[in-house]
Amino acid sequence: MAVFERSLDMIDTSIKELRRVAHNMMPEMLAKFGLNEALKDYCNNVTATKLLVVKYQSFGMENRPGNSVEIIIYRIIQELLNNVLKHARATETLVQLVKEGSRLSILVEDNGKGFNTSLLENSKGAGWTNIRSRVAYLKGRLDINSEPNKGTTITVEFNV
Amino acid sequence: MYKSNDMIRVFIVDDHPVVVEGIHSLLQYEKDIEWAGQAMSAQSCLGYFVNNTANIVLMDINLPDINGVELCKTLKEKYPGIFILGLSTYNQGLYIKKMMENGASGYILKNSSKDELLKAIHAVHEGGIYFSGEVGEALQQYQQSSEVAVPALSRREKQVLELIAEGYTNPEIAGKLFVSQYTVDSHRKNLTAKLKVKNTAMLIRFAIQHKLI
Repeated sequence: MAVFERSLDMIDTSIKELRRVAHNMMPEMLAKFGLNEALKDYCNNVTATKLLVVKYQSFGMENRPGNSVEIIIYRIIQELLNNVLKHARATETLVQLVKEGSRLSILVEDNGKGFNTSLLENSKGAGWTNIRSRVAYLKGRLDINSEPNKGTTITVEFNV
Repeated sequence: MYKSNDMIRVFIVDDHPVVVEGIHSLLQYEKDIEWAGQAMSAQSCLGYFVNNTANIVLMDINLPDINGVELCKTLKEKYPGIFILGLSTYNQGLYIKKMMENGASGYILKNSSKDELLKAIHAVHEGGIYFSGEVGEALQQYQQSSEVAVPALSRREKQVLELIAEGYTNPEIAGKLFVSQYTVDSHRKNLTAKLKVKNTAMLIRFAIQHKLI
């Protein structure tokens, strides 16, 4: 009986894991409800893991900037949050989107241990390469700022 | 005993036969519940209600044609007397919120027990609202996190704001914070957009009034 229950538990866990993976691969929220709601949901889900408290706020996002741009922004933020989770040892992160006219600004700021940004220039990591190429595709500007033991602020700005 | 018009007519729309059969068999011996029927898609559900009715519709979110959130809205607009109970594997605040906005009376997960399902059906039939435990939590968490009164300032924005208040120019601030002027300008624009102010004077006044600096 115990074996049976344990198997059930394991199946439950696998289903949850599968759902989590699927959710990352294809953010259906994005297609259904748009970037703003999808990001709100994504940040809530990260917070729900209890690994990191992610606050999300957005301004001027009432009108959707368009599907192709939305998925790129979503992926950039996903990648930035992954970095925070993997490396920053932060307890809190702020994710912010501000749209004013055609200017769209993304901010991801954590309170983690910070890092030496000059080391990034030679970074061949997939994460940063992906972020950079996405920002370049948007013809955007990426700004990385980090202070030891205070945290890291990443801003991305571009015109939609 | 219950007379037939006291029976709660329950209809289900879900594209998984196992779920439909399972719930049918869970409910078939309930004395006060009558099985109204079932549909595998949103369209056939809408078709059913042209000539028939039910008291409660158990509604899946992920349907093959129209999603449950939309179907909920359409059905409720056409037949306001029908109570809708969202039934899904999704335990995500946003879906729950959308279902409720579109007129659902409750939301339960497919891993709910039979007791919970019956409790939900009865609560909703009496005009109440029902969420299974986990759902309530997800909804609460979603609402808490999505309500921010005065916008939170990022650490960087706060630093920029303080330096603006001290009278420094953009190039000076850029020098002090080791960032480009462009970045300072970007934070500055974000601040005025977020706080809905028109110029620097108003920005500083707002910041002082709300004790942001």
